[in-house]
Amino acid sequence: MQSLSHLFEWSQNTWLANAIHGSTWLFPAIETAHILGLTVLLGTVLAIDLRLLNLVMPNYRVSLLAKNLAPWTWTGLAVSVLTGVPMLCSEALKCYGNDAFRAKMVILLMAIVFHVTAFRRVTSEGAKIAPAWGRLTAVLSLALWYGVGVTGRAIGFI
Amino acid sequence: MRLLGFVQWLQQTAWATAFRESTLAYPIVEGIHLLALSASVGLIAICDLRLMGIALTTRPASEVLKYLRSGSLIGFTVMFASGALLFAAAAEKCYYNEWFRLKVLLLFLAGVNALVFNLTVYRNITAWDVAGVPPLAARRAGLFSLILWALVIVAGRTTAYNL
Repeated sequence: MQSLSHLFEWSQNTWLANAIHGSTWLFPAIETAHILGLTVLLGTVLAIDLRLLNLVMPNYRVSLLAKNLAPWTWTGLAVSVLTGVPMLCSEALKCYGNDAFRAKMVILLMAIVFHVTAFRRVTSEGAKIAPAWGRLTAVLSLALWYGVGVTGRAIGFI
Repeated sequence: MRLLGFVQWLQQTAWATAFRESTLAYPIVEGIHLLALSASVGLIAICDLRLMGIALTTRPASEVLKYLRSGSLIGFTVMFASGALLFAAAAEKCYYNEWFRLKVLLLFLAGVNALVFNLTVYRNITAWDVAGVPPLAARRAGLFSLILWALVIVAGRTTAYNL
């Protein structure tokens, strides 16, 4: 853990972190882009999960919907991560000791792993999955991704 | 001036004061506002992309819009209710905040855009329902909606920084 705290300390003194510290509008601008990215990420995940729960577009094949929305989900995630990293650099030491941040990173990792394993399997072409498993996958997917949102919002409050 | 009187009264009501001074309720409502926003705007963005002929083009536009707009409306209701609470807590500051005024204007424009779409090109959706790329009026409505909602988020986030 010692080396991890050194990494956080180092990142807070990089040119990127200094650029953000030296600007009044850069952090808000990056945070706004972060919210736009997470909106696309959560919106597309929500649409597929609602389909798995059989609440929307019953005639739209799950695998086709998931395939069509996947590029948007990954784009939203990429924007969120690429804007998240500079925000983290600029207040790395604060985040290091922040329980909400630590929880967010754990849940984010779980959400991504779940997304490329169970979620991918349930939404893949020709998947033979009982509807109940589809619904459970949707509930877990929503809990994980919205968990990332909740803990992310909490970083600034604790 | 009557509007100013109203926001001052609103902010000083007992419940708005209690909400403003709460340590837990305020951040929770703000979190709900953000997550409801991601649901509402996220689902609307998918509808917009379908109208623009960019995403989900293999399915009828009516199918995508029918379900995802309903879902979005639920998200919008939660977002509006939580937003109203957040507004009440800082009503007078919001009144004088130029970013908040811009946000209200943008929300109004997004509403007008949706209304115009519903009253015009949406009415003969059967004519272009299965077309991968909808007519210009529908594509334009989708693009306007996407831009306006993104700007609502920008103005909303900036409002919070300037309160």
